[in-house]
Amino acid sequence: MTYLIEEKNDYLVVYLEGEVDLSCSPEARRVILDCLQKQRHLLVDLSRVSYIDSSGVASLVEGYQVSRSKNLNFALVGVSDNALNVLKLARLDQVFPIYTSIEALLQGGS
Amino acid sequence: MDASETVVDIRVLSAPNQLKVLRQRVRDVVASTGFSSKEQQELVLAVDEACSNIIKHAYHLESDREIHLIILKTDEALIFQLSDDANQVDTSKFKPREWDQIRPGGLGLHFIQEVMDKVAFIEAETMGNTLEMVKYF
Repeated sequence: MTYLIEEKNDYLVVYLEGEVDLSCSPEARRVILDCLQKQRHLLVDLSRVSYIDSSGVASLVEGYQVSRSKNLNFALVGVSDNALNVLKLARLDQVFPIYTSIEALLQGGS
Repeated sequence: MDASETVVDIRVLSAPNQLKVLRQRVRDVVASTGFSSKEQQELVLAVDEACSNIIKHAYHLESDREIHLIILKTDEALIFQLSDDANQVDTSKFKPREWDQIRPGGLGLHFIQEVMDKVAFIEAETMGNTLEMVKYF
């Protein structure tokens, strides 16, 4: 897994790429929580995530919960088909705010 | 059960970076079956979650132990057998997360149970644990 962080308007955007499994989910968790620690709204782009396991999903859940406790926005964008299937299996696709793209979110779309 | 053919018999270290190797072997096997691409992805996920559970709960993140994966193919199913040589675990403590709880953790077992048609621990006489997961064609 690799990641990249970019500022976009009021948001920090974390782009995750590759396979997010037990070997790298602690790093994904750290990156997500570090961004929230900076009191910034957060978007996690999963468009280039080819695989995600329960530990990766747990990192997203924790980020979502921390953002809510800090009154920060948290959303997933561009979720790849593989990642979306896993979120559906976890029945979390109805829990996370999910947008097709960052532009769709910033323009108030879905 | 009808005659079975061993299509994978692989042993890897219990290091998280070995999961990728195991996933690829499972991918190769399920790709040659009649499962849909979504089902193939889910089978890879379920086996991966079972391996992760061994690393976390049986070996407590010790990375120099051994995980043994056997995949058997019969006319009616794929059978995944995952073994470790850890102390026997109390399987009654394995409880999947309740669906109405939104919290990190506890998802792996749910994935396994959702994806597989049969999941059972095979009791060992001495050391070790073997989890058998069956997916019918």
